[in-house]
Amino acid sequence: MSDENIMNQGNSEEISAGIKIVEEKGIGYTLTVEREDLFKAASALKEAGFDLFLFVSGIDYPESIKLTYRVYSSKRQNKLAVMLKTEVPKSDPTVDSLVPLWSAANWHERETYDLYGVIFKGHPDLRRIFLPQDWVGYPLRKDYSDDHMTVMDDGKKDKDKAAAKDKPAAAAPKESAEKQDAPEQPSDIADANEVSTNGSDKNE
Amino acid sequence: MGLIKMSKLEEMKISNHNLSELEKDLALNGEVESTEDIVTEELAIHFGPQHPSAHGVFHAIFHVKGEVVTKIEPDIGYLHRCFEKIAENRTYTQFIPYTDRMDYVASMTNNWAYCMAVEKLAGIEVPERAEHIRVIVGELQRIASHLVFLSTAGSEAGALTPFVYFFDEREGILTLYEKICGARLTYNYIRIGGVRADAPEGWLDDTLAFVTRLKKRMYDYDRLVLGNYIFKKRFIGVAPFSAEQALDWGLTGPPLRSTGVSYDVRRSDPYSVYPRLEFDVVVKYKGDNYDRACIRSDEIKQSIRIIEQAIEQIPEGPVKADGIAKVFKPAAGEGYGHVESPKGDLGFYVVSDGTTKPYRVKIQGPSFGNLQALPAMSEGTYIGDVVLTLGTLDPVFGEVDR
Repeated sequence: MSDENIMNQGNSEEISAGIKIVEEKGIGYTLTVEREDLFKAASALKEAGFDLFLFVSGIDYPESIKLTYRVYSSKRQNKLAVMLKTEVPKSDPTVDSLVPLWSAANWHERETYDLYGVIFKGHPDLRRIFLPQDWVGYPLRKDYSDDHMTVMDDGKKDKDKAAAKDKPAAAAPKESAEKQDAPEQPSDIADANEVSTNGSDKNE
Repeated sequence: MGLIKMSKLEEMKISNHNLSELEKDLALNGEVESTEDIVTEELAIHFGPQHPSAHGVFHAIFHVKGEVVTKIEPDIGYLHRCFEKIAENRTYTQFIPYTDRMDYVASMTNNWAYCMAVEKLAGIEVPERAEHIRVIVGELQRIASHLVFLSTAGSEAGALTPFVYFFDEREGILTLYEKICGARLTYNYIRIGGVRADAPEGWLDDTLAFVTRLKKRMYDYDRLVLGNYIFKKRFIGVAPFSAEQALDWGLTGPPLRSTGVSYDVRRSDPYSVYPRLEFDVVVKYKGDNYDRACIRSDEIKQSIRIIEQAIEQIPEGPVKADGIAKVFKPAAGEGYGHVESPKGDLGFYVVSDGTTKPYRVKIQGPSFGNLQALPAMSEGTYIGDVVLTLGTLDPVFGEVDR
């Protein structure tokens, strides 16, 4: 029923003044707005019958984080779902929260805050949702590094590629030499080193 | 009798200093006469993360006043493995087995949704026979998942017998899966552009025999669980949700359809060969725990209908699109694929930058969206019913935490 309608209706529609959804390859109907206009555009969508909030996703780019929301309408006859897109600069990753419109946005925005560090203004309870509250960094950013977590291993675990790239030349050979001329090391520690080395090889 | 006592307790105001006196009275008379000067204290009870009824590693703090829950603070993330980050470091094909580990009660639909997103991204056409096989294994998966739901819903209400029956039936489905892909839980069967291998000889007949037998038995099972007097007493009218609330809280799947909203991805955004198959989207209207349970039993019957038709219509031909290398580079772009998984609207949003690895994979897990509504749904109900309400949302924590 609905899919035939979608085909017949062409590939764009003006939902309200200045708010136009356009079909995009691979993902369906899309609406791209500036972040200042996000709440206004979302309100227009809600008024047009898009009453089910499905998710918000961040995408990390060097200068900015793109946000993609998906909303669905249980009332409309065609063009049932829309991807709402906006972009926030990394220097000031703030955007209006959509919780006042859809309660469902609550956990989804917390997830995006947790993993991307996007701050949703007006969110009632913006805390990390998956990770512990004292976690450092935002894991889904491309430049995220968890080096600070390996401090307890005296750096011995960091013999893998990533560490070698960060500290070129000096660090890596020195460590391997250290390992070779340390036969008095207790055997269990040597075993642990062995295991971690094997593990990182496998991953590569 | 137990229920009546609970409500009395709730009405009465309890404090520590005269609790023993109260208990004595309850034991002797069944009720207490004077409750004037008794003060109530709110308690915070930790539920989980390790709890037999928690459906996985779920931690929540229940604030209770007597037997009534006044506030629930869910705390999730114990099973968080950040699959979305892992996806960025694997090739498109390598990520399929990871999707098995999300909703591990319904791995097949996870494979399907992910592959569909990549197919949309790369513009890959899937052969007819593969689409039919996908529908058959996908609907078998729905039956298996709903059978697990019905058995656990029964056992949470104290009925341990159905558990044995339903797991026996599910075993039949796992055996069919074992024959078609070698695995019983993490299938990795649906691949980009089709399925891994054609169904072995006789598999379709076995499947048809299985669903025919199950169809007859479902009516007995309905009476065993949903028609049971105690089950009805525990489930009917508990934690009702209206359509407005359900939409506001972002429910999808059976919990949403139990409130009267007919949102089923198979109909509202048709994929695969579903437009050619006859089936009803099951909708209930009260939105209470009982409706959420019944809807799954009815969906099993619809899935049986779908499987019968798909087996009848399945054409001969290839089961995988040609020319898809194990490591392939889709052009830069975006793809969104979603299926109606047993839990709800399961979507994958894949962004490509033209390399062999996805730039971003966003997983829209229905369990995550559904679990979010638990506080709104069960605040004000008895603490003993919260576990049932949690059960009727049917969250799988591999998918909630991802």
